[in-house]
Amino acid sequence: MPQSISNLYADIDGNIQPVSLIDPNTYQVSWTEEIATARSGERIVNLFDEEGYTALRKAIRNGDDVSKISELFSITVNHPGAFTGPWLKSEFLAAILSVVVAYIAFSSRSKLLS
Amino acid sequence: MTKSHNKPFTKEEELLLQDFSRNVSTKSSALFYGNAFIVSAVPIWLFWRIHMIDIYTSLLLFVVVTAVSTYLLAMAYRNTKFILKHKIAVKREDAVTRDMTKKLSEDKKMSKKEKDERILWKKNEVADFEATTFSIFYNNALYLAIVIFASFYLFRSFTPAVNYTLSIGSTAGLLALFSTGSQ
Repeated sequence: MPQSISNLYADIDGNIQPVSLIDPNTYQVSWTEEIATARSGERIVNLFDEEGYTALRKAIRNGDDVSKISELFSITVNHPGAFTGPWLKSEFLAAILSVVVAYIAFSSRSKLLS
Repeated sequence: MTKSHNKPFTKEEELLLQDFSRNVSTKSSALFYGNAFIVSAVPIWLFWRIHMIDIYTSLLLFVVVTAVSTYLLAMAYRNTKFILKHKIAVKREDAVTRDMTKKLSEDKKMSKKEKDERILWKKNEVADFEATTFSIFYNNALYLAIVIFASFYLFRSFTPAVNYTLSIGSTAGLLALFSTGSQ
């Protein structure tokens, strides 16, 4: 990558932010989203150079169609989704198991007493 | 009172009385108390590691609650066993009689009376064993279920120490109460 492209901008679903240069020729894009509104799967990250970024800002400001502005290149990030806790809480599982055992005990007792 | 009433019980009568009493033998009692102690002490782990009670500062509470729970649980074991024993004896009567008759049929020298006695004794033994083990299983299963339910759902909002006292105390109390019912 030529040295001139030092200022890159990333557009992730309309959320535009600068790309950080963490090493020569190593770039990093990072963004945060609320877990409740974030989605998993393929995310397309469009990258713009300085010119493209200016054009993009202009288009947004004027309310033009932003998809017409061609990006420098785009990458696809696959996100498997965030961990929001186990499906079953362990105490719930323990409670269910103990109720099953208690049910077996109870039914065999009533069988003995019948 | 007539003279006959003052006569001490014969050995058979004593055995019969022992059969129908709520009292249990020392061996059975030790089994009940040992089991009750283990089962009562196990929730300490739950409250120590999951509900995060500090075990050293709450040592006195643990000891007292475990002791009370052990006593109540042993009582529940005893009562449940008493209720179950005769039902089980009736249920297993035919099988034990058949089994013992087959076993004793080879012995021609034994009198009818002794054979009957042996069958009765065996019946008592079988019913006693089954009632003891089943009573322990039944009460342990209920104890486990109620303690988990109470500590995680019923008394969840209380502080751990109150949660511990309430869930263990009420569970053991409830089991002791249940066991006094006739059915």
